[in-house]
Amino acid sequence: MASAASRFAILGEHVRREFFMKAFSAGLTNIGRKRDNNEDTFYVDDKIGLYIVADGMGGHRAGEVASRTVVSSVRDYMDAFSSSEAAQRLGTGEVSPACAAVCHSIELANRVVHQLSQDQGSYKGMGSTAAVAFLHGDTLVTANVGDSRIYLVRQGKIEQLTQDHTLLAEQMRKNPSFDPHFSTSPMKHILMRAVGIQESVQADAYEMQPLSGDIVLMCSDGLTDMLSDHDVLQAILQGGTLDETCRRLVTLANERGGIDNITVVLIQFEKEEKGLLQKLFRSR
Amino acid sequence: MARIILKFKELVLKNFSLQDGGKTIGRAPGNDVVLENLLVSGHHARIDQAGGDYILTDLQSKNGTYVNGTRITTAKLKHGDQILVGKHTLVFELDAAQVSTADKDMVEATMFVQSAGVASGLLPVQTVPGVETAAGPTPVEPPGILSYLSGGKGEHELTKKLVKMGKGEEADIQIGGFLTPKVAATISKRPTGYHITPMTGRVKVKVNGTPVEGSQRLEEFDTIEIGAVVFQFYFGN
Repeated sequence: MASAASRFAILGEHVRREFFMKAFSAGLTNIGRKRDNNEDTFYVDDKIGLYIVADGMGGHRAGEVASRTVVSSVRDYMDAFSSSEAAQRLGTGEVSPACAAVCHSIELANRVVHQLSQDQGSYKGMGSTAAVAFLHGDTLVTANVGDSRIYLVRQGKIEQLTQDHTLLAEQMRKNPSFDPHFSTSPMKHILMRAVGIQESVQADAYEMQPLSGDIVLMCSDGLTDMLSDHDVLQAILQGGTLDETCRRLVTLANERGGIDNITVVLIQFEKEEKGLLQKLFRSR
Repeated sequence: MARIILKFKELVLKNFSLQDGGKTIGRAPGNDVVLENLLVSGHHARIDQAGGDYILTDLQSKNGTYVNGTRITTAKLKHGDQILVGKHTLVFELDAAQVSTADKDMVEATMFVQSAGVASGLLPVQTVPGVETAAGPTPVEPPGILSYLSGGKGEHELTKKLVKMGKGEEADIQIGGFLTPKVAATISKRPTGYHITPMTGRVKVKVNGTPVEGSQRLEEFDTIEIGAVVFQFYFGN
């Protein structure tokens, strides 16, 4: 009798349906039509919920080295965070532990790239952007340095979740009446912040709760220099698989000139009901 | 080497080399180029070096900065450009060698700014006494505040990037009630503002009396209703 009662208790407690947020993704990078090499690097990992886009800069092959170093440093740090329960309790007043970790991973990447650029003459002055998205539990952390962007597509609308760290964007923030009539302005390509250029860097980070059906787009400026937010939204709303949408976006950017490397990462969020085993063992 | 030549009418007053990076221009004594004239703002304009280019930025001066007669906010300088600040003219010049390289196709390359002394966003500007950020401080957004209209007393400042509201331990703002879930809604602070997102359908979250579908950006003085609790949203100082 006792065992039957306790079994009922377990079932009773979990009769309430529990859900968790699941992400799946696709990514694509393309050299574009004008450049000789691809300095963009991206990374997608649905298992730990980590997504990175980095757009490198620097002479010879240094831009590639910078963007790859950013990706590997951030990935290694976040891997360690995901497997450490202690780390997951370290938050500050303003941000969750996951958000703090993402910021730290970018700061770490900055130190590694900066050190490399100091040690090797051919890497002098190299740097990279960093756009990082991290799904932890049901919270999505987004962070960036530079002009690689993260967008949220929700219910047919598009919203930029990052602020570009360019001279142009900074002017527009300070002076909302400032007219960005020159979409080809040189100020658009002048970064006020980048990973690896200086001894330290601060990432801007945000947290939000993704909803089922949300799509998050991460991209290098090779996409957004060629396509307006509206163009991007239309291409995503056309539907199809995430892979198809990535290809569609890259093709469009190339058709419009492809002046820079183009990188696109798409993440789709779906709610899934926790299985009975997961409920009993509370594994998520 | 790039330089600016300071002129008043046709009289050449001084040469400034841009070899060691950019220059700040204004009436205040801390500037690299100090212009004693009431038409000149304290921190009027600055020139930054970015890669091989020089970028002129007006620092929201009262009387404006002009390049070859056109008022500008920011402009990339070319050899021979005439910059008008108050009644003074600054002529931007490059060496012959630089002029020829500047003529070649401008590649759409990304560059990193090497700024005149203080680069906004790069250095903790507050620690440089007496110097404003060259481009003026980025306006600090006032924090959002939720003030109880009913169901509680006082107010909550939305300092966290993601504020959870509900009955659970993890909720930053506790909302009681039999049907209230652990997290009934979240408010996330994003570049576009504060957005409220209801988490489950069991308790309706209303903004100005209308149930929120998906998520909604909050405007000042919106009322937010979650179960029996009603807040008003506004911006602090």
